[in-house]
Amino acid sequence: MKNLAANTDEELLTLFSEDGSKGLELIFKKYYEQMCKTAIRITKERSLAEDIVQEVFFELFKKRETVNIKSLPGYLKRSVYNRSLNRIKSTKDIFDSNELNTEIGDNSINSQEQMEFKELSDYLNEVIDKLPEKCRLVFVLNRFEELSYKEVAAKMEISVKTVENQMSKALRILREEMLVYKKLLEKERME
Amino acid sequence: MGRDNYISLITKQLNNQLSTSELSELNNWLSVNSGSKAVVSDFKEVWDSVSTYKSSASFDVDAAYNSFVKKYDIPISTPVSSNAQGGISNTLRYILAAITALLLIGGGVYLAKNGDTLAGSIEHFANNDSTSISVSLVGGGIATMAPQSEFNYNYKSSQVSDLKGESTFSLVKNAQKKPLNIDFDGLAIKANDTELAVNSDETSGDISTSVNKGRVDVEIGKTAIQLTKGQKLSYNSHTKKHKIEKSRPQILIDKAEGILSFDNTPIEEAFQAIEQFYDVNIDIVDSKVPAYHFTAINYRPESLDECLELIQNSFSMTILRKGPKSIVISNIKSK
Repeated sequence: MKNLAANTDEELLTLFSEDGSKGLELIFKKYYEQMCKTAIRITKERSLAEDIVQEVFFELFKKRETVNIKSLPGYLKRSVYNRSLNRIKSTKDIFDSNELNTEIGDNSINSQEQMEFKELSDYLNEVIDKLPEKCRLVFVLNRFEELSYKEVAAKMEISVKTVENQMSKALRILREEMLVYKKLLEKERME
Repeated sequence: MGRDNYISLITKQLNNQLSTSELSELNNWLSVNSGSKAVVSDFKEVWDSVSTYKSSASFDVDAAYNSFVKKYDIPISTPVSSNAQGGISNTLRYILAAITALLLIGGGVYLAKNGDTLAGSIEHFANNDSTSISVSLVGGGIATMAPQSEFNYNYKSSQVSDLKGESTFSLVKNAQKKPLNIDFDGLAIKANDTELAVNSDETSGDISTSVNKGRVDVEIGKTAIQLTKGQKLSYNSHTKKHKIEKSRPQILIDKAEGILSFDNTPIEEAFQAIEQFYDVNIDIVDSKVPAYHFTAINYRPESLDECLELIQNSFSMTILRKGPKSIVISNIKSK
């Protein structure tokens, strides 16, 4: 029986402090998938996301005798955010770029035939991937990781106002794409 | 105020970042601008539609762990289950004892996350906490379990059984078109690409389901019923009788979280919710209450006065306090 309300994280941390490898296995198996999904949302790349998450678990293992964790998922998520963002920062100059990705409208739909078989949510998820990188990251951290504007601003080292603007921009683009998608779908049906 | 600023307010509203003054400002705009509700609706649709972003990825956790221990040369631990008896806490011991007992009693119901047995892969979820918790379902759906609720979930057949208390199921249209089945004695619910709340009281036999979004198929014996958004079906497993009525999905009252949420709610119903939230009596003395609607999603009022002021910012009205628990409203008009 799995009782979600049981305070197992505390117990896992106690076990981890007593026997690192046993505790790590349980923690890894409990949180690996969740952390990978978080990392994928930020990096967009599955293998990179898995590497990052494994690094986070290895760091945790290395620090097992000194680390003081109050919230296990909180600690892991923070580590995954930081590593994922650092990895992106090191490969892309996204944090200074304000330019709008003008390719969204052009590339997002190849043909009406394809659209027929696409669900709106799948389509919008693809649009998210094509948002300008800073805009996408702000949107992902706020919408899916449920960080407040202030927390997003701190993580990305930008102002709260910029977060507000980028969130509006992301939703405006997504809405425009949704309306285009619906219009084309309607047209398809009429024909 | 420009359109972009309203988009910013709508965006903030969607993720609960609005201040009270911004909420008033947004409601004012909604009440005077005829096209604004459609804009808000579009943004909400976008917000909801992207909820599955990157959530469908699945991972072979055991394989990942094996490659992880090799890659980083982590000492391999002894199996957790055998060790748990010696070193781990009482709770895990109880869980293992429960699993063992169920294996013996159920004769084959194997509670393993990925295990395939005759009974499929069933997991029991229970929320004994004082706040709601979320459970991920197959295909990207989410079950939000209210405090003191529980159910069994079969991953393989996507079936919920033995539900007690209240849970809300938000289901996306999954690629396999496999619906979620929620089964009770005499009542079967099939749901896909929808949101529904299901409540069951074992003692009284009362079961109810309200559809917040989309459509839901229900079978009572040989009777097939399709419920649509805003409908609530009540059924009693003892009497086998059922009735369908209008549900009120446009209001959310969560006293524990301090949330009072209105979504295009008729103003009369909004006042009824405020009555319930603050345990006061509100009388509207107008002979006919205008068909105005009020929106304040995920609103966290700090006081009854603030809450009334917020509505007063959207509509013209006279508010008379007749005592700490009695309020009289009159002259409701559009601003």
